[in-house]
Amino acid sequence: MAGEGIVEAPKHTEAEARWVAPEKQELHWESWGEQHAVYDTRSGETHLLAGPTARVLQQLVAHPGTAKEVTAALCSKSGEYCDELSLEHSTRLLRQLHNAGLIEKIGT
Amino acid sequence: MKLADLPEDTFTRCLAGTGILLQTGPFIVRIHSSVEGFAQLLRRFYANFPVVPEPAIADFHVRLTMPGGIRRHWRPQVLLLLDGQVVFLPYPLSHAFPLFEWGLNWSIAMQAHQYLMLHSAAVERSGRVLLLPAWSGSGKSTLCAALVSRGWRLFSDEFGLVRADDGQLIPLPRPMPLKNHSIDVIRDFAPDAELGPSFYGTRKGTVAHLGTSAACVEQSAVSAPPGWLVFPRYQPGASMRLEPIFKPQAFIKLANNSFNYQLLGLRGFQSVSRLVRDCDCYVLSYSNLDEAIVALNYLAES
Repeated sequence: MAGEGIVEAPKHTEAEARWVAPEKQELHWESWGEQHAVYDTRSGETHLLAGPTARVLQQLVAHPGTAKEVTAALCSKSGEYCDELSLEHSTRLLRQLHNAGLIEKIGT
Repeated sequence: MKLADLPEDTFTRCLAGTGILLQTGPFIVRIHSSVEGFAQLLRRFYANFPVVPEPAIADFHVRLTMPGGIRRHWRPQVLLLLDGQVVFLPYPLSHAFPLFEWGLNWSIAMQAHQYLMLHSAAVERSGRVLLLPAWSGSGKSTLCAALVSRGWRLFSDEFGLVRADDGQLIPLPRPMPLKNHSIDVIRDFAPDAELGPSFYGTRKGTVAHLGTSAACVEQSAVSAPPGWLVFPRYQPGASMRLEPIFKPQAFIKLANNSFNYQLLGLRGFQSVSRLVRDCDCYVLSYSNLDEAIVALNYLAES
Protein backbone atom coordinates (compact mmCIF):
# COMPACT_ATOMS: atom_id res chain seq x y z
CA MET A 1 0.00 0.00 0.00
CA ALA A 2 1.35 3.34 -0.98
CA GLY A 3 2.59 5.27 1.96
CA GLU A 4 2.63 2.21 4.26
CA GLY A 5 5.33 2.49 6.88
CA ILE A 6 5.86 6.18 6.29
CA VAL A 7 5.42 8.15 9.42
CA GLU A 8 4.72 11.82 9.02
CA ALA A 9 7.09 14.09 10.85
CA PRO A 10 5.39 15.74 13.79
CA LYS A 11 4.29 19.30 13.09
CA HIS A 12 5.81 21.76 15.52
CA THR A 13 4.69 25.25 16.16
CA GLU A 14 7.28 27.90 15.32
CA ALA A 15 7.97 28.43 19.03
CA GLU A 16 8.75 24.72 19.45
CA ALA A 17 11.02 24.44 16.43
CA ARG A 18 14.69 24.08 17.16
CA TRP A 19 17.08 26.34 15.30
CA VAL A 20 20.67 25.78 14.40
CA ALA A 21 23.27 28.21 13.04
CA PRO A 22 26.45 27.51 11.09
CA GLU A 23 29.63 26.65 12.94
CA LYS A 24 31.45 29.63 14.39
CA GLN A 25 34.30 29.40 11.88
CA GLU A 26 31.84 29.51 8.96
CA LEU A 27 30.73 33.05 9.76
CA HIS A 28 33.01 36.09 9.62
CA TRP A 29 31.99 39.32 11.26
CA GLU A 30 32.75 42.98 10.81
CA SER A 31 30.99 45.14 13.36
CA TRP A 32 30.32 48.84 13.77
CA GLY A 33 28.44 49.34 17.01
CA GLU A 34 24.94 48.05 16.45
CA GLN A 35 25.50 47.25 12.76
CA HIS A 36 27.21 44.09 11.59
CA ALA A 37 28.29 42.62 8.26
CA VAL A 38 28.41 38.82 8.30
CA TYR A 39 30.07 36.76 5.61
CA ASP A 40 28.77 33.20 5.32
CA THR A 41 31.50 31.00 3.86
CA ARG A 42 28.97 28.28 2.96
CA SER A 43 26.96 30.47 0.61
CA GLY A 44 29.47 33.21 -0.19
CA GLU A 45 26.81 35.73 0.78
CA THR A 46 27.33 38.85 2.86
CA HIS A 47 24.51 39.92 5.17
CA LEU A 48 24.05 43.21 6.93
CA LEU A 49 22.46 42.71 10.34
CA ALA A 50 21.19 45.08 12.96
CA GLY A 51 22.15 44.50 16.61
CA PRO A 52 19.15 42.42 17.78
CA THR A 53 19.29 40.11 14.76
CA ALA A 54 23.04 39.70 15.19
CA ARG A 55 22.57 38.79 18.86
CA VAL A 56 20.03 36.09 17.97
CA LEU A 57 22.44 34.65 15.42
CA GLN A 58 25.37 34.78 17.85
CA GLN A 59 23.29 33.05 20.50
CA LEU A 60 22.42 30.26 18.06
CA VAL A 61 26.05 29.88 17.02
CA ALA A 62 26.88 29.34 20.69
CA HIS A 63 23.84 27.15 21.49
CA PRO A 64 21.21 25.82 19.09
CA GLY A 65 17.77 26.13 20.61
CA THR A 66 14.09 26.95 20.34
CA ALA A 67 12.74 30.47 20.13
CA LYS A 68 11.88 30.26 23.83
CA GLU A 69 15.39 29.19 24.75
CA VAL A 70 16.98 31.87 22.60
CA THR A 71 14.70 34.52 24.08
CA ALA A 72 15.41 33.39 27.62
CA ALA A 73 19.15 33.40 27.02
CA LEU A 74 19.11 36.87 25.46
CA CYS A 75 16.91 38.30 28.23
CA SER A 76 19.20 36.79 30.80
CA LYS A 77 22.24 38.38 29.14
CA SER A 78 20.67 41.80 28.81
CA GLY A 79 18.89 41.69 32.16
CA GLU A 80 15.60 42.57 30.48
CA TYR A 81 12.24 41.22 31.58
CA CYS A 82 11.17 38.35 29.32
CA ASP A 83 7.55 38.27 28.15
CA GLU A 84 5.39 37.24 25.22
CA LEU A 85 6.49 40.29 23.26
CA SER A 86 10.14 39.30 23.64
CA LEU A 87 9.30 35.83 22.32
CA GLU A 88 7.37 37.28 19.39
CA HIS A 89 10.27 39.55 18.57
CA SER A 90 12.82 36.71 18.68
CA THR A 91 10.55 34.52 16.56
CA ARG A 92 10.34 37.25 13.94
CA LEU A 93 14.13 37.65 13.89
CA LEU A 94 14.61 33.89 13.65
CA ARG A 95 12.29 33.86 10.64
CA GLN A 96 14.35 36.63 9.03
CA LEU A 97 17.59 34.76 9.64
CA HIS A 98 16.00 31.62 8.23
CA ASN A 99 14.81 33.47 5.11
CA ALA A 100 18.34 34.79 4.63
CA GLY A 101 19.67 31.23 4.74
CA LEU A 102 21.71 31.88 7.86
CA ILE A 103 19.97 29.39 10.17
CA GLU A 104 18.12 26.13 9.74
CA LYS A 105 15.17 24.60 11.48
CA ILE A 106 15.59 21.10 12.91
CA GLY A 107 13.11 18.79 14.66
CA THR A 108 12.68 18.96 18.42
CA MET B 1 64.77 51.51 -20.23
CA LYS B 2 61.84 53.79 -20.98
CA LEU B 3 59.81 53.42 -24.14
CA ALA B 4 61.00 56.89 -25.22
CA ASP B 5 64.62 55.65 -25.06
CA LEU B 6 63.98 52.87 -27.55
CA PRO B 7 65.14 53.89 -31.05
CA GLU B 8 62.12 54.49 -33.26
CA ASP B 9 62.99 51.83 -35.82
CA THR B 10 63.54 49.22 -33.08
CA PHE B 11 60.24 50.21 -31.49
CA THR B 12 58.33 49.93 -34.77
CA ARG B 13 59.98 46.61 -35.65
CA CYS B 14 59.31 45.08 -32.23
CA LEU B 15 55.72 46.33 -32.14
CA ALA B 16 54.96 44.76 -35.50
CA GLY B 17 56.97 41.64 -34.73
CA THR B 18 57.43 39.92 -31.37
CA GLY B 19 55.71 42.76 -29.53
CA ILE B 20 56.74 45.42 -27.05
CA LEU B 21 56.77 44.43 -23.40
CA LEU B 22 55.60 47.37 -21.31
CA GLN B 23 55.35 47.58 -17.56
CA THR B 24 52.25 49.37 -16.31
CA GLY B 25 51.86 49.29 -12.55
CA PRO B 26 52.25 45.69 -11.41
CA PHE B 27 51.48 44.28 -14.85
CA ILE B 28 53.56 43.42 -17.89
CA VAL B 29 51.71 43.81 -21.17
CA ARG B 30 52.89 42.47 -24.50
CA ILE B 31 51.61 44.73 -27.26
CA HIS B 32 51.61 43.83 -30.95
CA SER B 33 50.43 46.12 -33.68
CA SER B 34 51.04 47.01 -37.24
CA VAL B 35 48.00 49.25 -37.30
CA GLU B 36 48.55 52.63 -38.87
CA GLY B 37 48.67 55.54 -36.44
CA PHE B 38 48.64 53.44 -33.28
CA ALA B 39 52.42 53.27 -32.80
CA GLN B 40 52.77 57.05 -32.61
CA LEU B 41 50.08 57.36 -29.94
CA LEU B 42 51.45 54.45 -27.93
CA ARG B 43 54.90 56.02 -28.03
CA ARG B 44 53.51 59.37 -27.02
CA PHE B 45 51.33 58.27 -24.12
CA TYR B 46 53.61 55.53 -22.81
CA ALA B 47 56.91 57.36 -23.41
CA ASN B 48 57.87 57.24 -19.71
CA PHE B 49 56.80 53.66 -19.10
CA PRO B 50 59.49 51.00 -18.64
CA VAL B 51 60.16 48.54 -21.43
CA VAL B 52 60.70 45.08 -19.97
CA PRO B 53 63.65 43.19 -21.44
CA GLU B 54 63.07 39.81 -23.06
CA PRO B 55 62.56 37.10 -22.03
CA ALA B 56 59.67 37.92 -19.72
CA ILE B 57 56.27 36.52 -19.00
CA ALA B 58 53.50 38.94 -19.86
CA ASP B 59 50.34 39.18 -17.78
CA PHE B 60 48.35 40.31 -20.80
CA HIS B 61 48.81 39.94 -24.54
CA VAL B 62 47.18 42.67 -26.59
CA ARG B 63 47.22 42.56 -30.38
CA LEU B 64 45.76 45.14 -32.73
CA THR B 65 45.19 44.06 -36.25
CA MET B 66 43.20 45.05 -39.31
CA PRO B 67 40.53 42.59 -40.38
CA GLY B 68 40.90 41.44 -43.96
CA GLY B 69 38.32 41.61 -46.71
CA ILE B 70 37.19 44.26 -49.12
CA ARG B 71 35.83 46.44 -46.33
CA ARG B 72 39.34 47.49 -45.35
CA HIS B 73 39.53 49.62 -48.48
CA TRP B 74 36.42 51.73 -47.95
CA ARG B 75 35.84 51.62 -44.18
CA PRO B 76 38.99 50.33 -42.49
CA GLN B 77 38.60 48.82 -39.06
CA VAL B 78 40.77 47.64 -36.21
CA LEU B 79 40.34 44.40 -34.33
CA LEU B 80 41.62 43.80 -30.81
CA LEU B 81 42.77 40.39 -29.65
CA LEU B 82 43.23 39.84 -25.94
CA ASP B 83 45.29 36.76 -25.17
CA GLY B 84 44.49 35.66 -28.72
CA GLN B 85 40.71 36.04 -28.31
CA VAL B 86 38.41 38.51 -30.01
CA VAL B 87 36.36 40.13 -27.28
CA PHE B 88 34.97 43.27 -28.91
CA LEU B 89 33.51 43.92 -32.33
CA PRO B 90 35.92 45.79 -34.64
CA TYR B 91 36.23 49.55 -34.19
CA PRO B 92 36.92 52.17 -36.86
CA LEU B 93 40.64 52.20 -37.56
CA SER B 94 41.02 55.72 -36.20
CA HIS B 95 39.83 54.49 -32.76
CA ALA B 96 42.68 52.02 -32.32
CA PHE B 97 44.18 53.79 -29.30
CA PRO B 98 40.97 54.09 -27.22
CA LEU B 99 40.19 50.49 -28.16
CA PHE B 100 43.59 49.42 -26.84
CA GLU B 101 43.00 51.27 -23.57
CA TRP B 102 39.52 49.80 -23.07
CA GLY B 103 40.77 46.36 -24.01
CA LEU B 104 43.56 46.52 -21.47
CA ASN B 105 41.09 47.67 -18.81
CA TRP B 106 38.86 44.75 -19.71
CA SER B 107 41.74 42.29 -19.43
CA ILE B 108 42.71 43.62 -16.01
CA ALA B 109 39.13 43.56 -14.74
CA MET B 110 38.67 39.98 -15.95
CA GLN B 111 41.95 38.56 -14.72
CA ALA B 112 43.71 40.45 -11.96
CA HIS B 113 41.93 38.65 -9.15
CA GLN B 114 45.02 38.61 -6.95
CA TYR B 115 43.72 42.08 -6.01
CA LEU B 116 40.41 43.39 -4.78
CA MET B 117 39.49 45.57 -7.75
CA LEU B 118 37.38 48.62 -7.14
CA HIS B 119 35.86 50.66 -9.91
CA SER B 120 37.49 53.73 -8.52
CA ALA B 121 39.86 56.53 -9.16
CA ALA B 122 42.78 56.55 -6.73
CA VAL B 123 45.17 59.41 -5.98
CA GLU B 124 47.76 59.83 -3.25
CA ARG B 125 48.80 62.72 -1.06
CA SER B 126 50.79 62.83 2.17
CA GLY B 127 51.41 59.10 1.91
CA ARG B 128 47.75 58.06 1.93
CA VAL B 129 45.41 57.19 -0.89
CA LEU B 130 42.10 58.86 -1.61
CA LEU B 131 39.71 56.44 -3.26
CA LEU B 132 36.88 57.82 -5.38
CA PRO B 133 34.71 54.79 -6.07
CA ALA B 134 31.94 55.36 -8.59
CA TRP B 135 30.41 53.92 -11.70
CA SER B 136 30.49 55.77 -15.01
CA GLY B 137 28.83 59.16 -15.22
CA SER B 138 29.62 60.33 -11.70
CA GLY B 139 32.49 62.61 -12.74
CA LYS B 140 35.11 60.35 -11.20
CA SER B 141 37.67 60.67 -14.01
CA THR B 142 37.23 64.44 -14.28
CA LEU B 143 37.72 64.90 -10.57
CA CYS B 144 40.71 62.57 -10.66
CA ALA B 145 42.29 64.51 -13.53
CA ALA B 146 41.69 67.78 -11.69
CA LEU B 147 43.28 66.45 -8.48
CA VAL B 148 46.32 65.18 -10.39
CA SER B 149 46.72 68.58 -12.03
CA ARG B 150 46.82 70.07 -8.51
CA GLY B 151 49.60 67.85 -7.21
CA TRP B 152 47.98 64.58 -6.15
CA ARG B 153 49.85 61.48 -7.37
CA LEU B 154 47.87 59.39 -9.84
CA PHE B 155 47.37 55.75 -8.89
CA SER B 156 44.59 55.14 -11.42
CA ASP B 157 41.51 56.81 -12.77
CA GLU B 158 39.76 53.46 -13.21
CA PHE B 159 41.02 50.83 -10.77
CA GLY B 160 41.50 50.82 -7.05
CA LEU B 161 43.80 47.81 -6.78
CA VAL B 162 43.92 46.59 -3.20
CA ARG B 163 46.52 44.03 -2.15
CA ALA B 164 44.83 41.44 0.05
CA ASP B 165 47.86 40.72 2.27
CA ASP B 166 48.33 44.18 3.69
CA GLY B 167 45.50 46.35 2.34
CA GLN B 168 47.92 48.59 0.42
CA LEU B 169 46.80 50.35 -2.76
CA ILE B 170 48.84 49.51 -5.85
CA PRO B 171 49.51 52.22 -8.45
CA LEU B 172 48.42 51.59 -12.01
CA PRO B 173 49.03 54.93 -13.72
CA ARG B 174 47.85 55.03 -17.32
CA PRO B 175 46.55 57.70 -19.70
CA MET B 176 43.20 58.98 -18.45
CA PRO B 177 40.37 58.92 -20.97
CA LEU B 178 38.26 62.05 -20.63
CA LYS B 179 34.89 62.03 -22.26
CA ASN B 180 32.73 64.63 -23.94
CA HIS B 181 32.23 67.74 -21.79
CA SER B 182 35.05 66.69 -19.41
CA ILE B 183 37.61 67.32 -22.13
CA ASP B 184 36.90 71.05 -22.23
CA VAL B 185 36.45 71.19 -18.47
CA ILE B 186 39.99 69.87 -17.92
CA ARG B 187 41.39 71.93 -20.80
CA ASP B 188 40.11 75.05 -19.00
CA PHE B 189 40.98 73.84 -15.51
CA ALA B 190 44.52 72.73 -16.33
CA PRO B 191 45.69 74.44 -19.53
CA ASP B 192 49.13 72.82 -19.19
CA ALA B 193 47.73 69.29 -19.05
CA GLU B 194 48.92 67.07 -21.88
CA LEU B 195 45.73 66.19 -23.71
CA GLY B 196 45.91 63.98 -26.77
CA PRO B 197 43.77 64.04 -29.89
CA SER B 198 40.01 63.78 -29.62
CA PHE B 199 38.41 60.60 -30.92
CA TYR B 200 34.93 61.43 -32.12
CA GLY B 201 31.97 59.08 -32.32
CA THR B 202 33.30 56.30 -30.09
CA ARG B 203 30.83 54.18 -28.13
CA LYS B 204 31.38 56.56 -25.23
CA GLY B 205 31.14 59.72 -27.32
CA THR B 206 34.19 61.91 -27.83
CA VAL B 207 37.25 60.72 -25.94
CA ALA B 208 40.62 62.39 -25.38
CA HIS B 209 43.42 61.00 -23.25
CA LEU B 210 45.29 62.87 -20.59
CA GLY B 211 48.97 61.96 -20.38
CA THR B 212 50.59 60.51 -17.27
CA SER B 213 53.46 62.46 -15.75
CA ALA B 214 56.94 60.94 -15.67
CA ALA B 215 56.96 61.31 -11.88
CA CYS B 216 53.81 59.20 -11.50
CA VAL B 217 55.23 56.48 -13.71
CA GLU B 218 58.55 56.50 -11.84
CA GLN B 219 56.70 55.90 -8.57
CA SER B 220 54.61 53.06 -9.98
CA ALA B 221 56.18 50.59 -7.57
CA VAL B 222 55.45 52.73 -4.51
CA SER B 223 52.25 51.49 -2.93
CA ALA B 224 50.46 53.37 -0.14
CA PRO B 225 47.82 52.69 2.49
CA PRO B 226 44.25 53.90 1.99
CA GLY B 227 43.24 57.04 3.84
CA TRP B 228 39.89 58.23 2.57
CA LEU B 229 36.91 56.76 0.83
CA VAL B 230 34.94 59.46 -0.94
CA PHE B 231 31.96 58.52 -3.11
CA PRO B 232 31.72 61.38 -5.62
CA ARG B 233 28.68 62.61 -7.47
CA TYR B 234 28.80 65.44 -9.97
CA GLN B 235 25.52 67.36 -9.95
CA PRO B 236 25.23 70.40 -12.23
CA GLY B 237 24.53 73.49 -10.14
CA ALA B 238 24.93 71.70 -6.82
CA SER B 239 26.78 73.39 -4.00
CA MET B 240 29.73 71.46 -2.67
CA ARG B 241 28.91 69.04 0.15
CA LEU B 242 31.36 66.62 1.71
CA GLU B 243 29.51 64.61 4.31
CA PRO B 244 30.64 61.67 6.43
CA ILE B 245 28.71 58.46 5.95
CA PHE B 246 28.24 55.53 8.30
CA LYS B 247 30.68 52.70 7.83
CA PRO B 248 28.02 50.04 7.15
CA GLN B 249 26.73 52.23 4.32
CA ALA B 250 30.27 52.65 2.98
CA PHE B 251 30.76 48.90 3.20
CA ILE B 252 27.69 48.21 1.03
CA LYS B 253 28.59 50.89 -1.50
CA LEU B 254 32.15 49.62 -1.77
CA ALA B 255 31.23 45.94 -2.08
CA ASN B 256 28.73 46.84 -4.82
CA ASN B 257 31.36 48.92 -6.55
CA SER B 258 33.94 46.15 -6.73
CA PHE B 259 34.62 44.23 -9.93
CA ASN B 260 35.37 41.01 -8.07
CA TYR B 261 34.02 41.15 -4.50
CA GLN B 262 31.79 38.08 -5.00
CA LEU B 263 34.46 36.17 -6.82
CA LEU B 264 37.07 36.67 -4.10
CA GLY B 265 34.75 35.26 -1.43
CA LEU B 266 36.12 35.61 2.09
CA ARG B 267 39.19 37.49 0.83
CA GLY B 268 36.88 40.10 -0.73
CA PHE B 269 34.93 40.46 2.51
CA GLN B 270 38.10 40.86 4.53
CA SER B 271 39.61 43.36 2.09
CA VAL B 272 36.49 45.54 1.98
CA SER B 273 36.12 45.33 5.78
CA ARG B 274 39.70 46.43 6.25
CA LEU B 275 39.37 49.32 3.79
CA VAL B 276 36.26 50.64 5.50
CA ARG B 277 37.93 50.22 8.91
CA ASP B 278 41.07 52.08 7.82
CA CYS B 279 39.39 54.96 5.97
CA ASP B 280 37.36 58.01 6.81
CA CYS B 281 34.24 57.67 4.63
CA TYR B 282 32.37 60.46 2.88
CA VAL B 283 30.00 61.29 0.06
CA LEU B 284 30.86 64.28 -2.07
CA SER B 285 28.36 66.24 -4.16
CA TYR B 286 29.86 68.95 -6.30
CA SER B 287 29.57 70.98 -9.44
CA ASN B 288 32.64 73.16 -9.05
CA LEU B 289 36.02 71.43 -9.31
CA ASP B 290 37.90 74.13 -7.38
CA GLU B 291 35.57 73.81 -4.40
CA ALA B 292 35.79 70.03 -4.45
CA ILE B 293 39.58 70.17 -4.52
CA VAL B 294 39.76 72.62 -1.63
CA ALA B 295 37.62 70.24 0.44
CA LEU B 296 39.67 67.17 -0.50
CA ASN B 297 42.96 68.98 0.13
CA TYR B 298 41.64 69.92 3.54
CA LEU B 299 40.91 66.25 4.24
CA ALA B 300 44.45 65.31 3.27
CA GLU B 301 46.01 68.05 5.36
CA SER B 302 43.94 67.35 8.45
